[in-house]
Amino acid sequence: MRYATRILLCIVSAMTFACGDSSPSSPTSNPSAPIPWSPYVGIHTTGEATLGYDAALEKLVAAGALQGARVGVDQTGQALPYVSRYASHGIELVGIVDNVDLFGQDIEGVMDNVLSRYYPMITTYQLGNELSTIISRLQPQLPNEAYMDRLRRAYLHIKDTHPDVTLITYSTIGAGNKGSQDLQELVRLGLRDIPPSRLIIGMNVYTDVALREQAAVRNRHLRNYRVWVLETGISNPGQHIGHVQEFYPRIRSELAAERIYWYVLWGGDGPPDVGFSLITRPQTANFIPSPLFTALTGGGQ
Amino acid sequence: MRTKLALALLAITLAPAFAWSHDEKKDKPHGPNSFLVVFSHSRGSILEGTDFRISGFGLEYEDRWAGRLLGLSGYSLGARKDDLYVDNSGYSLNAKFFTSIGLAKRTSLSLGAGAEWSIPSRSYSASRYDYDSKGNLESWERTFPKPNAWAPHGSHANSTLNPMFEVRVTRSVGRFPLFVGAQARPMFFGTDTYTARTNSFTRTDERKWVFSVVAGFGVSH
Repeated sequence: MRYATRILLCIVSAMTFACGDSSPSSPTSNPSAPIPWSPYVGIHTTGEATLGYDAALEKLVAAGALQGARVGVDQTGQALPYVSRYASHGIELVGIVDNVDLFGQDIEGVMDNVLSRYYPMITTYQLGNELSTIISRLQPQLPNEAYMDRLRRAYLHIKDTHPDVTLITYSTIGAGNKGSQDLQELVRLGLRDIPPSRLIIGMNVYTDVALREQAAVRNRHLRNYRVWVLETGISNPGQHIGHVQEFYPRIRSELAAERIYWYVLWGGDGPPDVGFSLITRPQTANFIPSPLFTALTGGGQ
Repeated sequence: MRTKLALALLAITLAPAFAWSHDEKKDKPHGPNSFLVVFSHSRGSILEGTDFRISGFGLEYEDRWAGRLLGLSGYSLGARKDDLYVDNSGYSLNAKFFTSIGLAKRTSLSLGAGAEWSIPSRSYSASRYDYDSKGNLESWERTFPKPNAWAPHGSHANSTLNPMFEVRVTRSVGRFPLFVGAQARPMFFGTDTYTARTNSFTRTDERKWVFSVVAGFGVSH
């Protein structure tokens, strides 16, 4: 029996060792296979890329490859002209209320300001993004306790005045275990007090472990909620198509995610996000398409 | 990651040999012990229209007692890796007791029962979406192995503990047992359905039997 115990210890150690994180880092595309695309992308709201965005959105919509986008919204309405321009292409928008706007105590005022500018053009609002991880550790943090307070109050504030508005939780980080731990903590703090008819669970999913772990939390605690994956992607344009072919079906089968938003239409022309971009150099209408963009639009430019 | 996986499999493979080298020096007061390599394959469908096919590779330590205890002939401890190309799911540990009946010289039939603790293969999970003619989502349906046990890392929420049953025919050729058999696991699956028109959910939980065929070989002493 003692030898059996030793063997089992070896086996358990080996299995734990093997259970590391991994991104689908080397997806190989199959040119003849279909691209199981989900017609949603993230768009960085900026005036700099208006011409390129217009041209790209027109092509994607014409090809049937775009039905919606996730964009940043603000309290002052500075982004409104750009966001309205994206909406003019006939796509449905999700507005992200910036992390910074969640720090103040007056979340009711924040929601009033945002809704007064963007509603009813936008009826789905995400409160924050990767809140527990995206802010530098040197800066003040917003703990999940405080976040749940803001989310609950935002819901109570809009539930009767805007019955057609749906909220989305902040997207948990899409690599490693931190995202699933945050999600579990939100559940512990009362996430399920908000009815599933008015709340969608937001997730970012870039790696296999993040997918497995967030699916586990969904399976155990959040079965009655819809899930939208608000970010996925890969930083090598040559692997974009392979990522969609390989990873999108798994996101669907394991999470039943209704929507998967590609990160990102344009992440800037330099590091760190240029490689994720569907297009580069969007300052003019003659942007440079990625292989995925070309495949989705049946020929690109 | 593939290197880590390969090293892990190597460690698993070498573990019995490591233990055995010490074991050989001892007197053996009971029946034969065996180290077995087990190949398994299962297929089926939990959600209509979606199939799973799962192949696995495992190692087992089998301890046969000299006599019977409460009608049992021995116990086995095992580990299995399903979906060898996936490195973060499809791991399981199992323990079972069995009873053996002699069928012929050097051939026996074993009936076993035990439990299996696993991070189940992701191949069990499946979803199905229905869209209207304009491409708007009408409903989705999803199924997944329902987590019911603690896991050693991550969210600690992604593992399952299920009973398992096995029938196995073993023929020994000298010190080398060869076997074929079948396993059955009544696994707990959750199935959720969302209907967009009514913005409503239904959920059901039920045990479904998952069957697999197994075959393998080993060495006894």
